[in-house]
Amino acid sequence: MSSSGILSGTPVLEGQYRFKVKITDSSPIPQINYQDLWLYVNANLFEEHFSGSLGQWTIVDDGTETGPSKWNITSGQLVQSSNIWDGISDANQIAKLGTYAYAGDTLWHNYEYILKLRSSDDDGFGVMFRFIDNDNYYRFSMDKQRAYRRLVKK
Amino acid sequence: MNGVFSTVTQDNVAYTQNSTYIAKISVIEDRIIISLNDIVVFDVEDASLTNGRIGVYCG
Repeated sequence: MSSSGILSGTPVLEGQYRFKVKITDSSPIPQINYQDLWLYVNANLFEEHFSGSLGQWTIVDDGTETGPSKWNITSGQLVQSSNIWDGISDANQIAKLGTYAYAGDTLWHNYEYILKLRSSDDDGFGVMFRFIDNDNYYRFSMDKQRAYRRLVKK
Repeated sequence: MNGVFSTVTQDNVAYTQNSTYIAKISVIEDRIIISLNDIVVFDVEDASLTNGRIGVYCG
């Protein structure tokens, strides 16, 4: 802590850290107050730059038309180039089965998932999270042809 | 849940083909915040699933 009261440093372990601050004034009979400060340090759970193999990823095809999927790594990007889908073009039919790749740990609880997305097609694509198995997950997808952004759960 | 799809939320915005989006999904307890290029798209509460892996999807 500096002479001006600034507490500084770099956390190196994840966890919740409690700091108890004691404040005393300069009156003849000092008034004392306490304040709790909490610092939450989060770990980087997972990082992927797509060089080499798809070793950490599991591919699932559940679309029944124009498959199978074609996932590959190109110039540090994960690319899916097949037009696999479920054959149901109605935007209101929300299953929209196709193909997906998942990674990580089923125990991950609170997290931020950040990635870059791009589509050269006009069909649906997006991300999944809190994925337990093929019957239990959230999926956020965007579709240009059918004009929607949608969060579903299964 | 358990194999049955349901919609949590949606809008009718189409994406721009060949544009790159930086997507950020924040899941904190039962709150789900989805942002594209630092703009919040959806901010909802849903406690159906509390943990799990990540994935990418085409369909």
